Amino acid sequence: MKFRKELVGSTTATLILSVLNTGSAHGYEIVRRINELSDGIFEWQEGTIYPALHKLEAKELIRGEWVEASSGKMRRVYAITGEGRRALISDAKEWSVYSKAVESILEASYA
Amino acid sequence: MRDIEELIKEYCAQHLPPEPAWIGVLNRRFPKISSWMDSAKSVQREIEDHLRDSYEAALSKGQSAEDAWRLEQERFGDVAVISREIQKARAQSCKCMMVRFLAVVALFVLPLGEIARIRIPAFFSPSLLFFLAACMGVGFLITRRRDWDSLRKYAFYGAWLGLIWAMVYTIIHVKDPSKLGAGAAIMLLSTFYGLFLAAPKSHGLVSIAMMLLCHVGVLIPLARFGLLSFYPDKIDAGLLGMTAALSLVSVLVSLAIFDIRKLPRRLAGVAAFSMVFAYIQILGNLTRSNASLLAFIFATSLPPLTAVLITMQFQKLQRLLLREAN
Repeated sequence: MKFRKELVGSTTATLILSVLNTGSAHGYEIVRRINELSDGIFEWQEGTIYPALHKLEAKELIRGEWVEASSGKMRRVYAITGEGRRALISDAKEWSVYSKAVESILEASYA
Repeated sequence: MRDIEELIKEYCAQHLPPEPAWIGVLNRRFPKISSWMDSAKSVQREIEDHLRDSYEAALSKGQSAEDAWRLEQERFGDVAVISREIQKARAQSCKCMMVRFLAVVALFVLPLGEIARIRIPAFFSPSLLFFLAACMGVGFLITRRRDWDSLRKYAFYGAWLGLIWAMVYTIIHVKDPSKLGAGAAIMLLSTFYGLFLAAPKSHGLVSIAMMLLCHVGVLIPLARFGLLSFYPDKIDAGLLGMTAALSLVSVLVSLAIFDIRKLPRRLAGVAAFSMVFAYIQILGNLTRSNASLLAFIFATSLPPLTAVLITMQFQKLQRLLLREAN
């Protein structure tokens, strides 16, 4: 399913933060985990994750650094910061209230 | 099908903007230093890694090499657009960091400028303005994107160069008080001009204002009681106590009204700042009374450090309450 650009854009940061909250990962790994957790519903253009990652890094919500992977190659790996965790808690709460409200309005309109 | 490494490299080279010649020279001569300085290279490597991982995953699912590569290009999106977006995000972050640094430096040199009695007409220094304009011009010519934004970015570099130049000048002439004023003036002016030219376009003006307020909050009480003077003769216990109390209150008040979540980090910055200031005082007054200098260190560094500790405890309590509430 293709989602509208605005809808995807408004949730990308929260999705990335929630994936990184379970452990640090590089860009491809983050996309893979999101696809896996969403049962393939999010069919992103994979590259769009990188501007989002760098924006989050600029806001100090995540930290990216080049580390040596098990294969011996250097990979840029991202980890969530304390500030990022707090932002995630607040975003999750906001999203939960918002989605419940939208859902109840939609349910009422179909009832 | 050709080797995937070759294909990826060729694909990125076709779609990503070419590196400027001077970065190429840096890469060849100092590969270690340039790898972290050169954000374009870093972005390219990140994209290449992603393409490689994705290609290998597709192959492992049984797709043919051609299909895997074609699908991967489609899935990834427009590499050139994505790279531009990444560069933009990174530039904003660097700019914000530099504005913060310059704001701190500006506040650090302001009291020195005051002591050196810089007069208002001295703010309009044609030679310094020319120097900054030259830095901006050179920056403009060597960057990929020749626009007003990148021109402003180089005002920062000009300010940094001016600052370093003035610091070296001041250190060289540290024994000649008649030259200190000029050094402080150049430090102050180059920072001031750099901030003035670059700040309106940079992000985080609110954070600059916050930082200004918190540092002024510490500096004003210190200056009020003459502790920023090069000669610590005026120091006495009563004034030190009052300064300590005032700086503690001003730090807490000026920061608490903004963003409570960032308190420890900002307070740690203030603490480090006042400690550095105290150490400079020590270096400048090595032959003077050791007791008064020790007292000065305590007066300038202890209040902010205490504030850090108090705030961290307060934060722990806040987190605990939040967890309970959730």
